[in-house]
Amino acid sequence: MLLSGLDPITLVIIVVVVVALIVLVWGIGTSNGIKTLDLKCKEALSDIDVALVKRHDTLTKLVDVVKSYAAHEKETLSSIVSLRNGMSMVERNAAANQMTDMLNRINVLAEQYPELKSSENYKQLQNAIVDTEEHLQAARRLYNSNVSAYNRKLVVFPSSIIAGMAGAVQKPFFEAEESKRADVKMNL
Amino acid sequence: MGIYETMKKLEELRKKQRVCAGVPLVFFIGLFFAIFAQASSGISRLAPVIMLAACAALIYGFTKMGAYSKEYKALYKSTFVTGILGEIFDNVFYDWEHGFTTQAVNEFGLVKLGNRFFSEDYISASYKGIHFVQADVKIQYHSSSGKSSHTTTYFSGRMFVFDNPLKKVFSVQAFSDNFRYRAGNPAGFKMNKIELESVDFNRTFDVKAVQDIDAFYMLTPHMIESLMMIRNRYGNVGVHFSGDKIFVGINCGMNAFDGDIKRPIDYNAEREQTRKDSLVIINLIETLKLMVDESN
Repeated sequence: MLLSGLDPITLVIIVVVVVALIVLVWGIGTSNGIKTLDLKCKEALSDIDVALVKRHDTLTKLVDVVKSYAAHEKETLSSIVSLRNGMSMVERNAAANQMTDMLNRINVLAEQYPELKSSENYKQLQNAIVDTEEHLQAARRLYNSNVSAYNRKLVVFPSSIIAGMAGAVQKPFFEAEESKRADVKMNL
Repeated sequence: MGIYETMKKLEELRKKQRVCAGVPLVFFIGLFFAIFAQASSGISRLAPVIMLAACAALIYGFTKMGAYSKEYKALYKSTFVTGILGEIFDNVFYDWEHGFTTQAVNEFGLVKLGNRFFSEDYISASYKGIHFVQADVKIQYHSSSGKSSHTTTYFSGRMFVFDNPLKKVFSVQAFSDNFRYRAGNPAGFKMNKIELESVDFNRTFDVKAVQDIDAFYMLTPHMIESLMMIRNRYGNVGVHFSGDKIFVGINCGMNAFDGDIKRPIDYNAEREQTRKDSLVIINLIETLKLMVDESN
């Protein structure tokens, strides 16, 4: 009724403007969605870093305790990994794996030193290690979940168009530690 | 009192209660017909007196019925529940007449509060070092528009609070898809919907958390599996992880630790039923893996 009095050119212009507006609103929404997911990935990444630092600190304390019981095992305990700001995902993975290796070596050592194994300090630090590992696992799972949602936006049409225009690139996953993956290997 | 005497007393109370439930009603109906028969041949002067007597009998009957019911319940609980709870759990405190307060249930962050609240069978105890409290809870919303009234049951079942010394989180809620009347956001915090890795779990449970990381920290693959097992076993469940506590609501529509006064008591069957009701608590503690591992 309202549009019946308009000439065809005006009608076409109105349709084009409406369609352009819809596309613009969708584009802004999708772009914001991608940015929000990007932000969530970054937040989750900082959770991983916090968990890694906590694990590193606890491991350092544990190494000190072990050294006080097994001073001559310097070689076994010397290569504790160092963390720094702005590590890549590969470096983070490597750091997490190195820390797990160190922890395994400490566990093997503790078997040889019953006094160490039964000391209260050692037990407390072992519990703290378990807790930091659980925090790290939670951070890893949250990060991977966010990365999965983010990467999906980047590859699925039509949001991939906006992602391409914004220059967004896929993010790498934080892989499960090698030792954790080894746990599920089955010999058939 | 020995077991034989206790069982005899229980049966006696049960029969008295049944009689009290039946006789006034029969008496009232009989009188009603008598009045109706007399009224058809002209209004009797005796009619109001008979009606009054019938009402008095009815009130007396129901009062006695309530008293017998309470006495039966008290004897039943002391015979079948208190002892078995003491055998299974440590540091048992049991109060069958009282349960959780409305305020406590509100703080559990599980169910919406209606305007009718009932709770009984409060148990505080510990199992393998894990302290818990539990009670039967019924929450309803009753509305009346003058002409008609309507009652919706929000929750009818058991609620549990377990200590969880190993893990602390701000607030993570997980409700099975059929748990309808859920509590709002605890303390008004904005909660995010969380999707976990398991498609099956995401289909069965709705998870919300104030901080996303808390959900992933609490709902480990083991916990996801445990919640799925609990859902499969009990059907309709809500779980809220808050601070160092886990609140669990099983909306099964039934009360625990109660005998059926309508049927005669079987000593062994009642003991078995109480054990089964207690095993639900043990099962939850073990399935949720709340025990502190003392081995290392």
